[in-house]
Amino acid sequence: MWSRYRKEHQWQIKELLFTLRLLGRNPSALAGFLIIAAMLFMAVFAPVLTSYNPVRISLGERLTSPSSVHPFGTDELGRDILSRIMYGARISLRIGILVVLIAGGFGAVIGAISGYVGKRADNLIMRVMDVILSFPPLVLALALAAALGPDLNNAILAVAFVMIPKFARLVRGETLAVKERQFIAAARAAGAKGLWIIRHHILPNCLSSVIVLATLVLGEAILIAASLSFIGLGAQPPTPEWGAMVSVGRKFLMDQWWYATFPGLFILTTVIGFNILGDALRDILDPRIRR
Amino acid sequence: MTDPLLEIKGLSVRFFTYQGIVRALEEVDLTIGRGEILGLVGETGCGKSVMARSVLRLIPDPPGKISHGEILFKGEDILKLRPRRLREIRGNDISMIFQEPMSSLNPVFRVGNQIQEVIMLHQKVDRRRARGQRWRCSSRSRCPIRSRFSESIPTSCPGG
Repeated sequence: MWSRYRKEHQWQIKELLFTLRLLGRNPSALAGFLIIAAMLFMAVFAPVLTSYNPVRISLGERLTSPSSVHPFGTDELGRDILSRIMYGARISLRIGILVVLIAGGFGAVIGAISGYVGKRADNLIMRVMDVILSFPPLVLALALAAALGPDLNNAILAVAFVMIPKFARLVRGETLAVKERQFIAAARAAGAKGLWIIRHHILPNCLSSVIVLATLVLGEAILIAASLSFIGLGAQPPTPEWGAMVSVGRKFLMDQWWYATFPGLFILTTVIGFNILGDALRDILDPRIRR
Repeated sequence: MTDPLLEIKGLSVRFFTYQGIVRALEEVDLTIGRGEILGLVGETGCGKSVMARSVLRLIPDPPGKISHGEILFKGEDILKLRPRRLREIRGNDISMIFQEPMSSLNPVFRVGNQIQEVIMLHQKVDRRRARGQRWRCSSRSRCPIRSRFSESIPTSCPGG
């Protein structure tokens, strides 16, 4: 079974190994990859890495400064900040990844249809996107999240909705360029219909720029979701979410600098990690400038 | 003589540009019988490609338009076909090989998979069967079944 699979897909496997080798050779890609891998590792193995319960309150140790017992200190309810960051990675990464998948999927399809069909459909779709874009993203996400009800999943949906136009506009632009290329005419000459062309020729050609945008949006999504948590529309209080921790910790910044600083550093690192990984991935995955 | 395979009657194609109307084709008549091979010769820009493209209705509209005439393929007027029937004919009954092989292939997929794509478009077969057919085709045309060429992406192939 496996040997047969290996035989049939030997070229794909070769290609994958080649991609991994390119990844290892590119220092910034490697750095981004390691950061993301570390974050994922932390999220998955949080219970093994820390012995503290991230939501257990112990008022006796409130706001203690970093020490060997609590490397990142404790918050105003005596909870260990390091362990909250580790568990928080699960939530923040889930928000980022889900938002990007939802927004990227819908946005890319909408944009490709808009660009490919053109004329009135294009006008209609893009004007709707302009309406969404004309709101400040945070305000619109806030209104949507409030309408859907305070819940982490609703917050994810709201942020994803706000991010759709970014992808739609990018993919529409790429589609306009790609659809004039000769291979689209060739595909039509071979009897392909519109949806087939969009799926098999246009979207794959847009993929590399979508990946790069996705990494940028991922960081922004984490920040917006964090803001939603701050006003109580995203992650609900005992849940350790990085953005919520920064927001609450802000009040204590003057005297207890560690509270807001460490979660903030993790948001920063994650966003940077995704950005440089995405940038490098674009160079690696693009077949036109590969090797 | 039996029915002609392809018959073009009074075909005129115009392009409406900002600089005015370009009359690319004017009253073209042409007949190709079954088993016949026809070569069309002419200087650059005289409309050979526009004619070939209009047979498959691939004239970009706007700015181009087939203003009048008819194109009969096995008695059916291609200009009046429903989109569905037109797609059945394209690539199955009438094919077109474009001038630039480099830009006619999608740069993100392997050449072989794009050959296979045409089979998948016209026969209701899954990926695996289509690949089998593609291999049979390539052995019939004496191309190596798994040549470096068919498993590589277009940009890494020698042009032409």
